[in-house]
Amino acid sequence: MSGGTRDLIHIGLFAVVYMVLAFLVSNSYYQLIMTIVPVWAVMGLSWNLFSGYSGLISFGHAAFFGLGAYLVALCMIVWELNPWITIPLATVACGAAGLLVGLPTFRLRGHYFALAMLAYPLALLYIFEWLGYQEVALPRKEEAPVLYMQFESQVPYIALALLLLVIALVVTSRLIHCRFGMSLLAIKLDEDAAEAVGINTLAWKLSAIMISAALAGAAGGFYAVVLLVVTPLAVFGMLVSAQALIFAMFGGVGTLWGPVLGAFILVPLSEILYARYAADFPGIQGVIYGIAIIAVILFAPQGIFWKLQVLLKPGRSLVLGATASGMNDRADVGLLKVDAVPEAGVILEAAGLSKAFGGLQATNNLGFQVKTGELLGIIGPNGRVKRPCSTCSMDLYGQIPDQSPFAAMPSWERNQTGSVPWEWRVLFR
Amino acid sequence: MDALQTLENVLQSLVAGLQMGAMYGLMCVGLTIIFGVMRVINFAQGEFMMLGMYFTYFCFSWLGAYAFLDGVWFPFVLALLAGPALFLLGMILHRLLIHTVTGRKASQLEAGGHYAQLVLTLGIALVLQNGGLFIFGSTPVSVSNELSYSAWEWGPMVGDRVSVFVNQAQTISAILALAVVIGFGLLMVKTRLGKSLRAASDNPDAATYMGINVDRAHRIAFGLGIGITAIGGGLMATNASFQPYIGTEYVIIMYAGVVLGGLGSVRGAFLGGMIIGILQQVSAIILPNQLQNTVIFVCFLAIILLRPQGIFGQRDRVA
Repeated sequence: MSGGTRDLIHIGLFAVVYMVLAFLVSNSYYQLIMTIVPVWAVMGLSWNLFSGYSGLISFGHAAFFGLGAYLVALCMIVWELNPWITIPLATVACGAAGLLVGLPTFRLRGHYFALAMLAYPLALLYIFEWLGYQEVALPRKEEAPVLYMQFESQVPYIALALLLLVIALVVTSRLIHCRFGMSLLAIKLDEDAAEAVGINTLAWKLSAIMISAALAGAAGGFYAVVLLVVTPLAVFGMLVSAQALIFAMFGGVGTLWGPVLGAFILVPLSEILYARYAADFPGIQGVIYGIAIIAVILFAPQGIFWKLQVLLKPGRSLVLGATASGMNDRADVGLLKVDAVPEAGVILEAAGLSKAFGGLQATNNLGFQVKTGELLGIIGPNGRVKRPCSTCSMDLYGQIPDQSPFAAMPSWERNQTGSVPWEWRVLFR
Repeated sequence: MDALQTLENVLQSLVAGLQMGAMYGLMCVGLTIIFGVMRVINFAQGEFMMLGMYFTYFCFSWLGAYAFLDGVWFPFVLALLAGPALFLLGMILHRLLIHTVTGRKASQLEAGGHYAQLVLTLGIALVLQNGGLFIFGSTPVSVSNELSYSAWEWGPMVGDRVSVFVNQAQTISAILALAVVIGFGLLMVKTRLGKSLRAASDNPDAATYMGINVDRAHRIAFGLGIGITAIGGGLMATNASFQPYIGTEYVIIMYAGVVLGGLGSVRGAFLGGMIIGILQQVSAIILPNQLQNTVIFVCFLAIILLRPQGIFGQRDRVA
């Protein structure tokens, strides 16, 4: 069974269970939460589809969310267009907005990209305030409630929210299992290398941000229909972009279910605590989101999806498509020790240092000893042993026992052991 | 007549812009130290500025009651003291949280730790902002005294028509801000500590070989960055009201200034902050108040898209 088919079955099962739950829950407050949660899950998926797979961090997804929300609200007020038309319209419009944002911004990378994305929603926030849309309320349409998505019961809202989520899940699942997902992962790992092997990085990044923005726009449009009031801060504010990112990060970046998991844990948690303690502790939602992501970064930096996977299936090793664990600087296997009381003058001893980059075995079972007063140089082709071995020895500096001759040396003398050579390559060029 | 009125407005905004700009510049310097040395984008910088403001506010309300401390200069002293206080907090936070995703640890994380750093500082920002709402309350406060409401009159000139009022509290704040920046500049250039910070920033690996404890350098840089921004906040508190959410507003201003000057450059950051301050005040003459911040964001976007290395940065710093 291919990954795509398995995903579809999971999505189907999930939708059925969720709908059954929606009918069982009668408390209207919990029903509202059940409507909001899928909306945020879609935001998480939207962020994940772009940033999670391409590695370009967006702090500006609120721009698309807010545009979607205002588009739906204003079309309803000005032209009396119903949300059945305007939500798809918002989806398309935000996709176009994604293209507009992407074209100039993709000239930047890394920190600069993240910073630039931050500015879009905040500039829009003040523009919408200036235009006089401080608070836009959607009018009640008594004569044709269904046409304007204004239902008596909460269940249809839940069904629509779920539909939106299912669409987002199917889109994500389809995309990540084809060339699209692979190309984005390649860009995430090394954009220059991706370009060198013939991936049109700009085209893939543009299509990623367009689809991602379209999903965010749809979520924003539906959000306006559910809450009936749109304010600039609620849809363009920092917290919206932050939430999209938090749910994806908390659940697991670059996974299909991670953002959903994140939203399904964090949104109800913060909503319920907010309802209970808001009077005494007004900022409790933000504090919970803050603590949640700090905890995830410290204890499960890959997100709880992977943590759960490891806990549930202990035999399976953690393989992240994007991390490529062999790519770091450290030796894979080996032992490097500094003797506290040197035996026969040996102060540094290495044994069995091995390093493989994927299938390429760079170093196999290297060992050496350094005696007091001895100079040892390691010579070899670049990217083989010198760096892994010296990175290891750098780690050791923190753990040098006080009695070791190393400890008595000034640190620049310590460094003469095994660490400098790879900088020499500059000289030989 | 109208021309003179315009001249007066422009001069008045320029003076206000220079004053605000000096304080923005100070905050930008704090932010740029952290980026320059650690290569970390700190989203919580605005919140640390907010803490600096509240430090000044609370110390003022607790200690201001004592007669011998009841001078007009007292809030400014407190603003300067916010620096060491937040420096300590920064060192502790680095030890507990930040160092797990930066420096040598960063190379083990996905995407060089970028994700982890952005998210961790965002988490700290959310906790401080909303925790601040709980502890400090949402009522705007300020540390104003008679200086905040008094001004030197400059003029009248051009036939008694034009006179510019120079707010005294803001002027003192601006001078102090400039002094702190110069002091910090000397620290970076003249002292061994400054050299080690610069070395850790230029090439962490090489710095390690030269016997510099890069982790410690990062810790000090983080503390310094936060302390300096907190002083900026404290000085700002003497002439503006604030509440726990103020950080978000300022963090963009800080980033605009820092990027304008070139990420990681101290002199650039100060001048960048200065330019942002002037731009903000002067734009108020022709644009409605709500769009003042949009001007900053648009200018920020324009810089970042057209000249991401900043006005004073070098091309190779980008990417």
